[in-house]
Amino acid sequence: MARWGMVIDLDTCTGCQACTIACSIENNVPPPDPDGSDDHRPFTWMRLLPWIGEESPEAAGRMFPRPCMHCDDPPCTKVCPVDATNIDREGIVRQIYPRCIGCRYCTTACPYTVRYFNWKTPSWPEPLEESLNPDVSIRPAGVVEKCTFCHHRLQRAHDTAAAEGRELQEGEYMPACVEVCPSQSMFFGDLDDPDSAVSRRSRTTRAFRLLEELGTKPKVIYLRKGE
Amino acid sequence: MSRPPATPTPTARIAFVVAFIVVFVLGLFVWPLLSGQEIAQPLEFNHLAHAEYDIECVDCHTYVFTGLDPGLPDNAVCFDCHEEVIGESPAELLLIEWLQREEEIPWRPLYLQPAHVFFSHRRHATVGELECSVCHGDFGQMEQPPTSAPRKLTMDECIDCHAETEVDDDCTSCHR
Repeated sequence: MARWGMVIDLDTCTGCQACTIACSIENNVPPPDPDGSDDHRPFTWMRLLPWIGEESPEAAGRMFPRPCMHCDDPPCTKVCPVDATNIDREGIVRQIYPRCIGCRYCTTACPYTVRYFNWKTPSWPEPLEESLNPDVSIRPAGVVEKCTFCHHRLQRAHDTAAAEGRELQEGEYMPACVEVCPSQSMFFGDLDDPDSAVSRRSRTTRAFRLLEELGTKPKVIYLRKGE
Repeated sequence: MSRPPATPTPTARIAFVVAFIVVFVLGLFVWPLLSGQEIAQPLEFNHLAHAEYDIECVDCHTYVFTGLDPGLPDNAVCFDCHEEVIGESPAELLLIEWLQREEEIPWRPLYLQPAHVFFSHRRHATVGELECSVCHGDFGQMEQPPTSAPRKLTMDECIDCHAETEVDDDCTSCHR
């Protein structure tokens, strides 16, 4: 069974935000509206954080893509009182929307703040509402949502492989953000496969994880600036 | 000085009880009949007549082995066989009229999933090799189009079947 992970190369990332847009379109995340913005409530599953890397005079402004880390030891799943969030066999931390009661313990427990509460029923400006992804549900008000590594794509890939009576091949499953990245700074694959692109990159000296000291064991791995 | 609370007269009591019973009975028995989901199809489609010619479900419900939703047939599917009148049924004459008007026939689905359910027909029909009749009953024997789903499908039934057959019943397989 694969253990899916992502590698993001901060050296080649241009901060174009294509991943943010691709994610929102793929996963039916509504665009921010003026009312919500006043309350600081719009969200995107893939957010680009501004980051100043070095001190002056060589200060370099960078953007830092931040999806859900899909921790191997996620703090969010432990606090859910109704088992609406858990980690599946392939390492994806998922959210079961119809089961979520909206208590928001998980949003508080997540050290990466990548869980978002729906304060109101999502809406899209015309004509975007007619181009929603039919493979992903629209989350109602009162439930928490998060990046799923586009696991509907994984299910589809699994179904295709099963229907054709074969194993899942590398590259058949890829989240929308990785697929769209124009500078090819994002890699996705099986971390347990020593030969996969993500696995090889995760073992280099450039690799680091966010808030590693917390012991959450994130499966999103960043590559710092090269030598 | 405050007035003593009004005591209902015996007539008022009887009127209340009668009104309660009438509303209760209406709500329990009559309302479901009136609001029943009687689904009328635009044509009297005869499943049996088609099944007798060894036409499989997938021939008309094209995506049953490949998609989430098996789909209802579009005009082109009917046109393949019914370009000209080939039988004697009045429904076929109506069908030919629809086809000649070049207007898609508005077939009405009997099974509609809630927005948070993603039931994959491919996963069940192709990977699980289930017969259509396991969930849908014997549609192939029906001469008249049913006005409601012959079998109500609930999550309990999904879970029971998955437990019996020892197939994974992961939440996000259907709720994602």
